[in-house]
Amino acid sequence: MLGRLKKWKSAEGTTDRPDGRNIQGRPQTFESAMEAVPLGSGPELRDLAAEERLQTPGEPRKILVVAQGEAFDADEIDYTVNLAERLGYDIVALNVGTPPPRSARFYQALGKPWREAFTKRAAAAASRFQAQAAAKGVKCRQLVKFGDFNKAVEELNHEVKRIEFVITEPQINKQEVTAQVTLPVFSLRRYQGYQGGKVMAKDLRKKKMTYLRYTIGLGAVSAALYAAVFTNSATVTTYFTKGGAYAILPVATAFLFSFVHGAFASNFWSALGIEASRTATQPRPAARRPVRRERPRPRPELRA
Amino acid sequence: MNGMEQIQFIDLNLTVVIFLFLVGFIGGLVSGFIGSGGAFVLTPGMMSMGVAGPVAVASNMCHKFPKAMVGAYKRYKYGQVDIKLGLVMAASAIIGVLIGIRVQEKILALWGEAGSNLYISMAFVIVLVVVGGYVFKDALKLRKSGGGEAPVTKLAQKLQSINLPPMVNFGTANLRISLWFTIPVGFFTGMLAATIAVGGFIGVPGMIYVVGASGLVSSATELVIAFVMGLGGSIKWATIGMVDIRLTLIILAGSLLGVQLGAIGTTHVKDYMIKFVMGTIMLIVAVSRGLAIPKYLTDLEIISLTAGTNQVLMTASFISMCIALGVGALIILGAMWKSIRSEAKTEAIAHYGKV
Repeated sequence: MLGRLKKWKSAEGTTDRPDGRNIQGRPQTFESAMEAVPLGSGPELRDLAAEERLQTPGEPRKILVVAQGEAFDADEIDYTVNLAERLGYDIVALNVGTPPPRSARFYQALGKPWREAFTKRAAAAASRFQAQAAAKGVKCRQLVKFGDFNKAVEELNHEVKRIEFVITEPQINKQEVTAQVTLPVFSLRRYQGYQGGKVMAKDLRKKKMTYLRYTIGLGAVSAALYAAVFTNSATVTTYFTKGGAYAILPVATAFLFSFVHGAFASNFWSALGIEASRTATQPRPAARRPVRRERPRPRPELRA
Repeated sequence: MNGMEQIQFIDLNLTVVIFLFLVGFIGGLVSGFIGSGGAFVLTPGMMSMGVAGPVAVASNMCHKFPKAMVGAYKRYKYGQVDIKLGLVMAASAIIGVLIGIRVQEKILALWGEAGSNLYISMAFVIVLVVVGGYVFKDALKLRKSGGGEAPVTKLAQKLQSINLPPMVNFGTANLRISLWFTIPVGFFTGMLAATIAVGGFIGVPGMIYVVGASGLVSSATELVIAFVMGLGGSIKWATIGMVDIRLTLIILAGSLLGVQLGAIGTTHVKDYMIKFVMGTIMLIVAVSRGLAIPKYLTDLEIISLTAGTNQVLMTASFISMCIALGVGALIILGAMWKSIRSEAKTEAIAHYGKV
């Protein structure tokens, strides 16, 4: 479910950076810089970025991340933090709160407390963002604005210096933003239905934890089933040995136990780390390859 | 006949439960690995604990099909099961079972119970020594040559080349053979299953040496056959109320754990290991059944031995059967352990450089 980013050509067709400078020996376009993020050609980029920062003292460059509402998308956070780390930029995280409709007087009266509550919730939600950024040595400041999304972005652009570009959530209306904001705006596009997208990146410990949870859960169900049979063993034996149509009872029970206890056993070994060899050379029939899919990774898409 | 009268509610004391669980686990481990096993220890084991013969057989059968199903599913995920081959074999095995039962009944009518027991033991010894010996020799040969891919036998090559319609393609087994050559293999699997309760001792070698599938695919496909036959048998026994579900469930508790481990094991070892384990078990079981033959001969008054000697021989027979299962399990676990450790080492080197 990672995002994908359409390749973009800079609107002018030049290799200049959006701030108008062309830096020799560096990734010339944001396209290459941004693609380098998921590709992992990070270290040298980061070094270059740090070097550049040293040479241009003063206000650090910033990425503005905007969320409509109080929470940031997890993919958006990941992507932005990685990008900021490699470019050596700071992050400004902006939550734009749209209050309940003004037409409703009732809500108007609630206006102020609602804003305070929103600010609180947004700060709490942004703490994860900030923690992730801090772990990578990126400065991250969180701000809250109310009202129209585009106006808020534009306003902030005047208040905070050296915002280089904007990253938004996928669901924000493209046309509206590009018409009113005088900054390059990128958004992460996601494919919800993509299967296996994050499998490779999964933390092994997390996987083990999942197995452990299943082991405990299924083990409990299995134990309950066993308890149910053995505490009522007299009744069970009476009915299960009646023969004839009652034959369904032992057979169905055996099936039921094999599903529950079998699933438990499978997770049990996996939780212990005993799993099938990955290099196993089983004779597999040549599988028909599905249509080649684009590898989903987050890439910026220019809203121009 | 009512099962209630047959099931003499045997006392489920701790010893019984632990024995069934452990034998279930080890039997599951072996059958997950070679496609069958466990039954030959469980049935006599249960009987020696006072379970009536038919109940022991029925309860054992009822644990076999869920175990085979779980094992087959696991190995299917590893791409080892040829479902088509399994179903074709199972269909012909059912015919084999029906005829095998008839033969048994005939022998029982002619020579009584001792005669029947003698027939079963003789079948055990002859089949296991001949087939098991061949499998074991083949495994040793493969191990000497480095344990690579086993060549398809000349017999299987010849049979595959005969174009006798209907020809059937078996995708996972990666072969094409006439249906007429798979039917006898399935038939004898069923015959043996009806006689000694472990059809896999014919089924797996048959699929390897006659049909021409690999050891991995054969042992995995055997689980499909075991599932079909076990399900059929269980329904048959359940309709006359012979299944003691408590015994079945205790065995299942162990065997489902074992069968998963055995299935995982197959992905860690070379193909010849399956033959090695199978051959070893078959030969030890043959010795075990051989030890029982003098008693049946005494019963038939062909030879005369004292009751004490016979008792010693029968005990030795049962113990050696347990040894067969235990040795098989130890070989499997040992091979797995070695492979997992060396794999972890390789992986560590790949990740962190030299360690």
